[in-house]
Amino acid sequence: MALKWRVGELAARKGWGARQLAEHAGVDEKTARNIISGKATRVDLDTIARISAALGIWPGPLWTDPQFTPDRSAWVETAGAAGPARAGELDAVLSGRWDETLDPALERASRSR
Amino acid sequence: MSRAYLDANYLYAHFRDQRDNPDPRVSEWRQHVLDELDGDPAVISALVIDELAYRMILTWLGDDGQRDPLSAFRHDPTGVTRSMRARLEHLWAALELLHIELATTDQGVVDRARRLLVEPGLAPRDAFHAAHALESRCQMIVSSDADFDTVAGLVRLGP
Repeated sequence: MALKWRVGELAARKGWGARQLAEHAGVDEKTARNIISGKATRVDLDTIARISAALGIWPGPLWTDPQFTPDRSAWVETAGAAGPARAGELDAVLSGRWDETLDPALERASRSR
Repeated sequence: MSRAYLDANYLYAHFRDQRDNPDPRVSEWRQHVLDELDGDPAVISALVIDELAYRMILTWLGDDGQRDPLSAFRHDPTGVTRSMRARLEHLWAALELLHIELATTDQGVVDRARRLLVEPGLAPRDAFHAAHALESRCQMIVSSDADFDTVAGLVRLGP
């Protein structure tokens, strides 16, 4: 399945249409319009870099792949996948007081054999 | 919308939350994270996988009745890890469903981590977590560890 542009959605969050996006990114307005409408299929790297910089994001989120878009239900379904926490187990995790002796780097560095 | 890096403690709490009796603190934290992600994939690094596996193995030893999980692990790390194969595979399958983006470790990450070790003086693993987050252009780090509050350019989303 083909990737789909998300630039229209991302620009809209800034209140930008094609003209404003073109101005901020320094690209041709027609190019910006084609990208926003999802019609553009061949866009050069310089344009991609300009648009991601204008939107203030890493280029990856400029597109979405419907096959790999995470949905909220996956987070709900995977909760507890490692088994149920014992009483009080999550207290230390949530309070930021994880036992430092259980740091894997320290453990490996101090392993005697 | 924020691009967010997930620390191991967040994923640990998520994967150990009780499905039948969810911890409201974890549920609320998850809700905030999903609101921030707004459909975008979260970001982790290999460090997170390493820490998650290690912590889970010790926890599962405890679940199995081992009174001193750390000593048991240190006595036979490979044997213990091998004995956890089924549970680890189940965990990785769950992680896969979340379509999390893996940040690469390149020279930029190493250089950034070196600087973070000096200023603000993060602990080594924290410096590498923060460096992966920043070099992946994350504005947010999801963690219960307040040490990340000192990192310029990152906002911490805690429980």
